[in-house]
Amino acid sequence: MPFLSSIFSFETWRGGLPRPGAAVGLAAGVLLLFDVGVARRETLWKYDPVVRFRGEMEARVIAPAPAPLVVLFGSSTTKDAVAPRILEGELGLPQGSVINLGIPFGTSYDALFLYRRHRERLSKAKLLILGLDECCLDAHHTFQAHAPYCAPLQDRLDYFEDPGTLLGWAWRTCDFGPAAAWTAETLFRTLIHKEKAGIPFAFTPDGRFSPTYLSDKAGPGNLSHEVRAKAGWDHFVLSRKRARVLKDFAALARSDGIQVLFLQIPGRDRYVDWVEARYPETRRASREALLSLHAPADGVRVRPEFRGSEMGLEETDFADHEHLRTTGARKFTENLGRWLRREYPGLWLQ
Amino acid sequence: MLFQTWVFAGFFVLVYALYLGLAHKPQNLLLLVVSYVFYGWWDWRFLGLLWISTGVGYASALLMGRSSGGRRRAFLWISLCTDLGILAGFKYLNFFVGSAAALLQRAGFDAHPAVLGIALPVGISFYTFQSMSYTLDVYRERVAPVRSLGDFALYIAYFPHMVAGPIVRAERLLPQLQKPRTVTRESFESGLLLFGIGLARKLAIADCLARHVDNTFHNDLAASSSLELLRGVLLFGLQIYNDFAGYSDMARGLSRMMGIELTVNFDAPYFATTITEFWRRWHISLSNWLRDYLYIPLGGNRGGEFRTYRNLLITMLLGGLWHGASWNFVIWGGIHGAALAVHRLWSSRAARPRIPAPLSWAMTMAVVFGAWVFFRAEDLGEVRAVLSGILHWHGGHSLWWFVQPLAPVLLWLFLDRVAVHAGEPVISRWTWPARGLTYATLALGITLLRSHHAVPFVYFQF
Repeated sequence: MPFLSSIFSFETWRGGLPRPGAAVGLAAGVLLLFDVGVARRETLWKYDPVVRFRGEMEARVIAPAPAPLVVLFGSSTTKDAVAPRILEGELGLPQGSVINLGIPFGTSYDALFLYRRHRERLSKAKLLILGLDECCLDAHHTFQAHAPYCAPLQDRLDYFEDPGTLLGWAWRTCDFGPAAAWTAETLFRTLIHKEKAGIPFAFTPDGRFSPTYLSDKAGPGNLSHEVRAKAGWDHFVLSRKRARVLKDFAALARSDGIQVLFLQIPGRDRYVDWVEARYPETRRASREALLSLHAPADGVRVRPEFRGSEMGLEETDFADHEHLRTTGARKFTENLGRWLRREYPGLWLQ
Repeated sequence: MLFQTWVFAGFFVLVYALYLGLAHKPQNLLLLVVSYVFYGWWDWRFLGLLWISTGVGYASALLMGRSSGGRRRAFLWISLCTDLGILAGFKYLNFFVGSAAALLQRAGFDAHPAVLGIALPVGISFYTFQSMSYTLDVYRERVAPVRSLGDFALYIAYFPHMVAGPIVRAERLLPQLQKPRTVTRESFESGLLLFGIGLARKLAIADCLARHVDNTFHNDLAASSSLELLRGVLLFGLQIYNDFAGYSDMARGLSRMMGIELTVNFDAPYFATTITEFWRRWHISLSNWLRDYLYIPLGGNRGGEFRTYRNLLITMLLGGLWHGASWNFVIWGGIHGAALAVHRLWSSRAARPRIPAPLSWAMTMAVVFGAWVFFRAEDLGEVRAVLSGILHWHGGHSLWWFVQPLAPVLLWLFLDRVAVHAGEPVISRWTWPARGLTYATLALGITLLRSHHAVPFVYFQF
């Protein structure tokens, strides 16, 4: 009777305790070797273009800007929508005063992480703008590979939905999947296709920092609006953890005396109307959760914007349902600049 | 509560610790309660349907045991109508009303059916079929009616297989529930290994391939190249197989750890060289159900060639409809029914030329994978776009694009050709270095290829 107990009889069990054995020991050894020898190699993580993009952005956008006044965070929608040079013109600020730190697949956690990491420099700003994707409060809205790449244990507990991410803090192999896929692709392309490793990045004339393969004609995908909407909204679950990231971001910025604006980047009318008609309740709940962060007296504003036409954008200004082309970025940035001048008079001169 | 989630891991560890410590009767009570908790986790309101099916099935079988002739048949019909009524109301009503309205509109009538918006209770097709098989078996006197309501309720609701099978016959499962069970170290280890293989099928193969498949089917199909569409269809076939077989393996593994054996549901179906063999290896519990409770009662192969083909076609059409309330599934069933009939006709010819096995395999897979298009597409418009895109060959892709899903495909080949035979893992017979490397491969596959959020099983929608 291997399981004798004063509470339970365990009469069901026969045959003694399971023994791990040599096979399990070998498996554990292989996993440990992989974790230490592969999954923790910085060079391999940098094959993930998002990790690499952030590294390049830190070197080429943040480092040359010693004292930015307006800093934008967000995903590729923010990266594409706001042109720093145009916004500086609208606000009458010198070049280098506005920086756009939008990252492809970026999330609110990236904004919090970037701000903390470069706090000394970024806390000189007057206004932090966090561009929000339409499903940013969805529990399924994945924090991509670059998030676990750098998240400490407390952040994994506070902000991440997937308990596997918690495991990844100790066992990096759990985080390494996307980076492994990129590593394999890079090696294959380099060895077989003789392509140069890594995607090059460059500034557009209006000051946006982007992968060079993106042009106005090539939006990030040709999803139908129905399919895109279903992917985003069909399984939407309002996440308190996602909302907490925004709250903590605002609190941190406010503790440094900086105004915070949560800005929703507009979507193509056709798409937004379709989504509004199909998911009215979910959209309302998501919008209300966002608006609950609105506290102008405390220096935190929320500007939800759903339809492109409300910002003077036409269908042709969009590369897909939510990413703007250069013409759209100009119109949107000019509109944003006028709004900022009106809502934050003299902020930049303080 | 999905098997591959941390919530389920916690749930099962707790249940298992309690289970091992209890005697037989309290064990069954525990299993029944946790099965209802497991089911109610999705939507507790649908527990009512489960209880209705259970109550009517139990009472009808008991009453059948005490009566004969017309009364006996009447009790059978009460039970069958209850289960079929639940299925019709919650799974097929919208489909039938919508199809009738479409037909009337084509005939020139102004028909606008109200959209009923009935939610589909998870696992409804599985537990109703299980209940029906029991009452039919009692009617045929293959099994005796169960006296204990608890045992019967557990037979219907037993959580490892309730929501997506395997559909286990009363004669197999009930005796295991009625007798005390013993868990040996071997059955625990073998169950754990089976669960691990199922987890790898789901997380490292099915969910990983799903991302490639969705990329294909979510894009503009008309603008996609032939290779892109063909790859999407092939990968979907692997996705749905590993998704469903993964669930079955996990269900069997969990159950084995508790000392209860469920039936094998898959046996490397994509290595079948004929369509008939495919159906002996694919969703075996449903194939057997359809054979025993539909095909044979329709007359089976008794009554001439025409009737045999007709019965095959009817069985597969209804089998298709079982999967979902849509014409796509009916056509999918029809394709398989027609293919089975053609194969039967071919096999019955005495002087037929011999087809080499690779060619026979290729022809079988062409039918199976071609039919998957109907299974995956949202509607017939999408089916047309995919098939015409493949048939009107155009476009190409880089080599990397083909190599991209190689890791999950290789893992599938390893599992089906090397590690699992006839639904049973053979790894435990290997030397310890081979076993150790296999465990490490499975663990690495799961951790590296898994999705960051739980993807529901495809068959839950059926």
